[in-house]
Amino acid sequence: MMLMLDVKEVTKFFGGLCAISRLSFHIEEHEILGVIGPNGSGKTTLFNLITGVHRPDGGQVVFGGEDITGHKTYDIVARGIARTFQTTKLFGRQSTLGNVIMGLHCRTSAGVWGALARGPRTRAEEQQSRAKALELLELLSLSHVRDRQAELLSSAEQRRLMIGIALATRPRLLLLDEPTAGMSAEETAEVVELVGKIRDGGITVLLIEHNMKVAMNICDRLVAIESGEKIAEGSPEKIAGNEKVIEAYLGRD
Amino acid sequence: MADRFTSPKFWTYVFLMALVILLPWMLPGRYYIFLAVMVGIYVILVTSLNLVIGFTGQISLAHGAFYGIGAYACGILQVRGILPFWPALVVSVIGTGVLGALVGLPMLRARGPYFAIGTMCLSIITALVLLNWQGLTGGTSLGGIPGPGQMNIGSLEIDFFSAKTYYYLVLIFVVFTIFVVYRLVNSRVGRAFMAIREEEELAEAIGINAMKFKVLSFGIGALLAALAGGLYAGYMGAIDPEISSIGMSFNLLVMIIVGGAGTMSGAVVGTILLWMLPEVLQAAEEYRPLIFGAVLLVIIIFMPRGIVGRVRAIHPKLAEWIP
Repeated sequence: MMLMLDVKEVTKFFGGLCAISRLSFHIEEHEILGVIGPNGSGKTTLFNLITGVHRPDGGQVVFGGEDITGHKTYDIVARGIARTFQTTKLFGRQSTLGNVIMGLHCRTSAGVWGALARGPRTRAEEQQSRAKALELLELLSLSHVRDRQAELLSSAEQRRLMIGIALATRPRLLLLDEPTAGMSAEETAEVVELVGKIRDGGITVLLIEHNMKVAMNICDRLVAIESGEKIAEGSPEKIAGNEKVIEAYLGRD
Repeated sequence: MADRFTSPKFWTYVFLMALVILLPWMLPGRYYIFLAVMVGIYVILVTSLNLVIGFTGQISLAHGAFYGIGAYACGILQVRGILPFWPALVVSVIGTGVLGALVGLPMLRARGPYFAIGTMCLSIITALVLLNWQGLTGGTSLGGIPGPGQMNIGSLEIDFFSAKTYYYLVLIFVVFTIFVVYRLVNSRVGRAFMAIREEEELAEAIGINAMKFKVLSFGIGALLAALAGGLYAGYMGAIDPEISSIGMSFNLLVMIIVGGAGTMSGAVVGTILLWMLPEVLQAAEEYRPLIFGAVLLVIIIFMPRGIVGRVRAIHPKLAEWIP
């Protein structure tokens, strides 16, 4: 097993508040790792630290053997980490297909001169982009709405599309921020299936999940955090029986 | 490709192009050719501002500043006898483009209304500098700009003092500007611009260097504004700091909003309409500003995406037809 991501003693302060405190964990290649914890425990901040949105105040983030601490987001995406957001974010006025094509930005190269001259290389790149995007829409079961404006899709379709945009960046590691938030049981099952397909396609998945059942269901391993600190780590069964986790979720009598 | 010649869309554009080419011969007098030249210069301005506002989503009120800087740079280089018109135009256009990118670098860190206010200040400062740096700009007006004058290609003599000839010169640059912006927005670069416009956080998350593309858009916008400025200086022969006033930038913004931000044809429609409206309303005499204001208000309330945005929304076929 190869080490995909190694988070070492990462710390982040917002003003005087310690959002993440000396947090360490790792993800192996082809693993699905779940991060669980109550609201405000620092899960999304953790994503922002890994993807370079925030710079950690201490510690290290190592991806595929290389230190990426404090790197710019576009550099981190180019290296192969993609993410989704807790609240749906899309390019609303573009078509479904257009959204996925936008996600191919960092895997294509045409610049201003390429755009103006529109030579054979640029045209070939455009065609390849379209073909790749259509392929992805197939995987996401969104082919039937490919020409529809993204803001007109159903909310479950929008959330799948958001995963599709992230996949278009061709990541080795995909970070999903509560992919099943606000979904019905049926829609949740679809996402669980999709995450399985993504892993089978050779992509490692780090997932924030609020719903314990879903987390238990799809994750190989879980990390539980509370108030920015790791309180438990291990297999879903082990976590489910952990005193501290139960206390963090349900409170003490 | 073969069916291009049978498509009504193709022939519509051929017809419009023919109309534009024959226009100076159909207009009733010199004054109207002057108006047509000004509309052309403004189409360059509004189309390039549309790249920044309509496609990249950055509400810039500095476009008038770059228009003025381009006009003054081109004018001063000629008046001082440093360069003739054509090289002066090239130098001022490239110089203003670089200046735009450099200024954009700190300014584009501000977002939304803060960026608008920052760029508004830039317009005010530019107009003040142009007015008060008399040693360089001549103060209240800079006159005696030679312009392109005459040009000899073989035995062919082109006289740019003729308004009709200048119209065609401007027309070439209008087509150039529309071509540049159209190609840009229909490319990977343009998709990055639109990604930033629609959801900057997501744009960053898919690996777009938002700062780089915002600076690029702003710089190209400034470059094309300077092109319009140079053409204006060469046409009028005299310029004044008013062209960089904040009112100028607001006018351009209104043209974009009325025509339809983020659409290629919206910039053209908005510009033509806002130049024609005062002419049409001449009969109304002192009620002119009142009617003008009422018409604008109606358009903005009932067509928040502009005239072209409204028309495109009627049917998907229309959206395909009108870029």
